[in-house]
Amino acid sequence: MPVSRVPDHVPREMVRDFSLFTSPGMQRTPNGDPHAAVACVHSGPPIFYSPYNTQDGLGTWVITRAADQRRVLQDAENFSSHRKLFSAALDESWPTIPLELDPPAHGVFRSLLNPLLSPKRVAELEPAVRERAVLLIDRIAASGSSCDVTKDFAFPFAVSISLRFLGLPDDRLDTFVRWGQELLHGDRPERSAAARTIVDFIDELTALRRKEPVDDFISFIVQAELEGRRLTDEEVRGIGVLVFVAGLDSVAAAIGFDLAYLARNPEDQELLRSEPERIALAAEELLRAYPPIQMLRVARKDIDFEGAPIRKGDYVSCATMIANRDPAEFECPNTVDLARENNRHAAFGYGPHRCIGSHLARREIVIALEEWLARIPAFRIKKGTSPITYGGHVFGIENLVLDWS
Amino acid sequence: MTTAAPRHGADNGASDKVGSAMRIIVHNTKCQGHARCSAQAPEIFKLDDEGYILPGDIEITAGEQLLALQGAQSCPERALEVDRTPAAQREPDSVERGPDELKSTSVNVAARWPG
Ligand code: HEM
Ligand code: SF4
Repeated sequence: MPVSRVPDHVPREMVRDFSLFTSPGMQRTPNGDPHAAVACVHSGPPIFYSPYNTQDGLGTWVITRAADQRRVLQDAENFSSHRKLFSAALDESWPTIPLELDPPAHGVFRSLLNPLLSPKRVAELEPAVRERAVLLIDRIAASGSSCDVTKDFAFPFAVSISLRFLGLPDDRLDTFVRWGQELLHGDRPERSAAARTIVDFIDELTALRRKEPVDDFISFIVQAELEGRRLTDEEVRGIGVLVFVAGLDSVAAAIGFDLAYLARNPEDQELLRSEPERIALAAEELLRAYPPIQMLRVARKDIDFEGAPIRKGDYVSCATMIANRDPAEFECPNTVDLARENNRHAAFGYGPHRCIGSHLARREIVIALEEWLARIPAFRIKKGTSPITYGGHVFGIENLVLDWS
Repeated sequence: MTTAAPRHGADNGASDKVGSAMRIIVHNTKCQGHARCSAQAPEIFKLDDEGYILPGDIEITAGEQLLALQGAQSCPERALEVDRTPAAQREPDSVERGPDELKSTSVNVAARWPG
């Protein structure tokens, strides 16, 4: 363990050889189960220090209990979101918005954006989402009895919904997906290049929409009034970049993990196929068991937390995949129970930064499962293939080849 | 943050009598718009245009109790507190606030973003 990276104020006995990036099962693993791999932390203390736990290899405190994560995430006064993860890849320092702003500035932007993704608004988007799912699945069903479901369905589906929301055409979808992959999973030069490409793309789009607004998201943002003024270019960029990136792979990852689970559990698969009214509840349980995101905060002051001396500037990790396997919060947390009730999982976070896209993401996942199960007969993982899983800032699954011959 | 003390009634069976239904105490400052409550029971848990719960405690009729309980228990932020104190035993002012009056209360956005 590289103890040299541990800051002096961290007691050595609180350091653990655990990382969402480098622990066993976190790197690209055939037939892996990274969510089960991280659940092991619950046999240990409620908080510990991980010397290598960000994309850049920085150390973080790790909060394991769901109740403690809620305390951290609901407490923006002590735990800031202002960590400039995106712009740091460019050696710049503007925040993505609202993700990296703290209250009260955060709330002003949230109020501007909330109506665009509210439950009511999402209900209006539903027919377009369903149409997109049906089109893609019908094409897959017509072309054979096997497909790589991440590449052929989950990504094109989730990303095209996201592009439609942003008002962008589908024809560059593959390019956008690649940018997202390089940004979230590439090495440092790849990430910087991808970040630059995405920023330039959003800046260009912003300039275009300022000149000639159309009926789309960026036009709404450039025309919006906030406390009696228009948004600055940097604010529009902070919002545009975030919403663009947020929709690129989170939903696709969730759908991938869900279909992998159903491929491996034919009884549950058949249950949902024959009783589709169970899908909405089942989707919540799958979000609990296989959530993709780790959240980070920065301590604003020195805080003693459950015996840990957190010091100003320390990173604090609240990984949804860890909270969701907390035995104090969920009975038999490592068992998937598609009928689980009162499922208050952390997949979309807690506190003021609760995923603004959660209502859309939920609809996308439920619709994807409904239409997939209605159109594709009993499926399994194709013999001789192994899905590849990985951990990190956003967990994912690739090469998920399903077979229904 | 919330200042209301928990008010779970003593388990004396009184809350099961018809007419002494329960109440949901809404802690608006904790609501973050997950909308899980309204997904369970849209008629009971009403949201504003941004998707956050409307302010004001919610009186629950006897027939709605199970649904209301499920809705309250689905809140990830623990913003909904179940109060089983029979209406007759509560402080007068909280009893008088009927649901209709609450629905017309305008949304206090500032209250959600303390600090
Ligand atoms: C299954 C899919 C998704 C998951 C699991 C997910 C998860 C999350 C989580 C955990 C956060 C909180 C981050 C933090 O507190 O630091 C978050 C924030 C956010 N998400 Fe999502 N998300 C998903 C889909 C989406 C989609 C489709 C969109 C776009 C419409 C989106 C847009 C955002 C934005 C803009 C924020 C920042 C909100 C804020 O800071 O106030 N997400 N998401
Ligand atoms: S579930 Fe809780 S946080 Fe979500 S809208 Fe209802 S009260 Fe608010």
